[in-house]
Amino acid sequence: MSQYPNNPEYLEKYHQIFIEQAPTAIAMLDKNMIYLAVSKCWLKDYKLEEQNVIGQCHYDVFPEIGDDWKKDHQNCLKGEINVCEEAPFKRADGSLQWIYWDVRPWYNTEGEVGGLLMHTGDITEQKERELEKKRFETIVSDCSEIARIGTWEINTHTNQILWSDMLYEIHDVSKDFNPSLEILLELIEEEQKRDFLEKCMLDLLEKGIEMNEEFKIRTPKGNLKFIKAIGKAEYVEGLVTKVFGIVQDITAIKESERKLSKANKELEAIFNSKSIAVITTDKDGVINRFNSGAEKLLGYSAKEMIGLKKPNTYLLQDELDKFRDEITLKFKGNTLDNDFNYRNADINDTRQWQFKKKNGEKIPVLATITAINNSNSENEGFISVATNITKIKSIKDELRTKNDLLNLAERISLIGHWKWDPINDIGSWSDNLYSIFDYDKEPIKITFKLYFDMILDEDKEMVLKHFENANETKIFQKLTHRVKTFSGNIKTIDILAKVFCNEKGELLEMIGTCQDVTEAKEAERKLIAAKEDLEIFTQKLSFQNQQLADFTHITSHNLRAPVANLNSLLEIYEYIEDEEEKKEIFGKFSNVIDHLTTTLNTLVEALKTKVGDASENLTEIDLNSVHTRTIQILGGEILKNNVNIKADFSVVSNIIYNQIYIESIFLNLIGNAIKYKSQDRVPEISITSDYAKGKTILKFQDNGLGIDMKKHGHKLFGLNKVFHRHPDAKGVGLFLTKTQVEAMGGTITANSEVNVGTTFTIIL
Amino acid sequence: MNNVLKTCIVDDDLIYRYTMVKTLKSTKLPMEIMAFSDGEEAIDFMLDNLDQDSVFPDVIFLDIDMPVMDGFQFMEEYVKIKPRVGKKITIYMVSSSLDPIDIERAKNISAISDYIVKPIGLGRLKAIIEELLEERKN
Repeated sequence: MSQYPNNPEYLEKYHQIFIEQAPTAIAMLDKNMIYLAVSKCWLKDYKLEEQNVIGQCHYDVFPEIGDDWKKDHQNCLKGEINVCEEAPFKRADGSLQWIYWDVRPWYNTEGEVGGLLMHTGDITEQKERELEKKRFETIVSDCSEIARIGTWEINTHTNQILWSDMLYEIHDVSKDFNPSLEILLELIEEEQKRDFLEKCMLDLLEKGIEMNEEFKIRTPKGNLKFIKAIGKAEYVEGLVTKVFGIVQDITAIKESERKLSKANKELEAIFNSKSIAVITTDKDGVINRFNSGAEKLLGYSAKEMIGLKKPNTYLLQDELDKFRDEITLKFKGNTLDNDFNYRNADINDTRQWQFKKKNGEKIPVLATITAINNSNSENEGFISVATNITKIKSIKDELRTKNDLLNLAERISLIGHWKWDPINDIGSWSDNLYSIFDYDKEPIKITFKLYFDMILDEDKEMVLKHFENANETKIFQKLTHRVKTFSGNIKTIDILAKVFCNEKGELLEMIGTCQDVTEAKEAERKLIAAKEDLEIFTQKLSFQNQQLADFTHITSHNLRAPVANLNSLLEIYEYIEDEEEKKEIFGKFSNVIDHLTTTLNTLVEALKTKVGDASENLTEIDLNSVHTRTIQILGGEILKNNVNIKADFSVVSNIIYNQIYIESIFLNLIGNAIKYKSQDRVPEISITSDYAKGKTILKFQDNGLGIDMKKHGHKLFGLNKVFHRHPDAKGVGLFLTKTQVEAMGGTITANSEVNVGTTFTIIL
Repeated sequence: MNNVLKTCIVDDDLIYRYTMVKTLKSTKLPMEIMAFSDGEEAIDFMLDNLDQDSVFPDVIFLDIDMPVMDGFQFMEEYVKIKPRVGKKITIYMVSSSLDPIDIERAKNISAISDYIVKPIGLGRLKAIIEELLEERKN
């Protein structure tokens, strides 16, 4: 200090030098804010090099200083220290300066505040770098958000993994999730990839080998995600000190990659298709792609076409002109724009063309032409996808012909056809179906209600059931019902249909036919009526024929026999001369005539039964009283033969019948049973009534001789048929009985066994 | 015995049998007459005498309509024993029936020579017997 004498003058000078040359911005002001001293750095920082500020007021030098700062200065003059680490300082020339300051009072030797010492620094540059860094970080953060990138870091001491927010989101976990390598390994979908990640992490942690891999993970929520993981290490003196990296969710990218690849493959498949021709042209109209389908369609090879030819090689000029004109008209409209080039229009046109093959043959083709335009709407070529429709065309033509035929057939056979979609209740009718329903106006909307309303009320329920059944069984049986047509005609229609279902068995559609069978039905009805009439007539006729046959038989056998006898007797009578013999023969005459009379009487009685109307003399008859009367008549015979007769009419006791017939039937059958009794046993006769199928049945059972039904069954009820060498057998009783039963519309049958007995069954 | 024709009548009608016998006898031709009142009696007779067919008739006048066993039933039985009968028997079906069904049925039985409608009449009967006697001579 000896070389610096403790002289206030010196001191002041030194102080001044100290301030002036201090490497930071320092200013010394008096209480009135007048500059006492200022460092060069101050002048430089505030661009005041040209000015002499000493002796000037601070506020004059910095007119931009506001009242707030002035107030702070005043406070400092009272002893406060004002320190600010950074604050913007808007300068009068409009520039912004970032400064820090330390303003504090200085004290004179008396210890009083002599003024202010200001120390400031220009931190504008530093501040701008900081702001830039902040901006950069924000951008990175935004990018991470958008790109779904998260960052991570591993503390090499604790092995603790730190995640950025995004990583929690990518892994579908909440913020309190504590990631560890073990847990993360488990999230990896593929087993072998887990080992791989473990190895990568070890390499990174121990050897600092960088990692850049993609993994498939299954998050705790079960979502499958693709992630890209990058890891880096920092080392100091060959030792890993910091491990960090990023993880990106690339699921969406992977998905679009997959979709793109799929689309690409599909496109490739289309392009490689042999059945579709794909031809593209460049901006000059020259073919640059010509697939195998095109080769097959046109007969040109790709080599002949690509880079050499234009589509007019295979297009017909007039069709091409027409196409140009139409496209021009479509896009340009009627405006007169001379610069219009149809090639630049947004063309996507599908139409039928005629392509000319290499061999000159013309084929019908359906082609879609799409313009490939760049972002400036300038044409870069066309792509044309074409299919050969020769077959389709011929099938269409055939179909049209067949449809015409079908229409004709429908008209002739009075058939129409229909379709119905039950889900949406939409139907359609063929032209002829409209005419069957007498509808000649514009086609209408066909619904089930429209059809159902036409059905006659009596048939409605049946039709509804039929449709329900078809819905259940998926089979539509033939349905016949009547409708009242639009013009009020009643028609009978036959409906046939097929039912179509989806794989779940739900009804999708019904397709069917509908035939007007009104006339056929009417004819059928008449035919049935005629047939029924005929059947009745035939029955009558056959009954009459039977009667006629019976009488032929009777006249042949029963009337001709006595007549033949008479003739023979007469012949003998004429040639014999002996009077005794003549007398004998005369006696025979009398026998024959008696027999003939009896036969004739029987026949007359039978004829009366057959010819008369049996139903005329119907009365209510008590079977018990008929039985009693018969017993009375046959009383002598019954007593003589010790016959045991049982009668049981408990099931049916009263019948409506002809009184004379029923008595005759009882008399004949009981009489026969007694007459043809067996000598070996006591005659037993049982008579019962029964009821079955709406008819009364009478049974007469005996234990008599019985009849050999095999031998005699066929002539049991014939006139004058006898089966026993019984003196009283005349063959009349059963004949009359049968005649009477049949005249009343009944039948009589017999069951018999020789030497066991006979049962006659009469169904009245 | 060679010149005597064994003539058999099978008929239930007493009057008819009487007239047949009377008429046959009136021809005064050599014959032996036997009569049965139904088919069963006739067939029983044949069955009883199978071992001595000399008693069998040469000619049978067979009625259709008879009790117990009618003409057709008799034919069925006869056809059964025919192979065991060493003798030729001529059978005439005789009936008062003009029923074409009966006639047709009779014609379909080969063992029946003819169908004759009653009455036969003396002339026809005589001619038949004479013809049969003539056959026997040859």
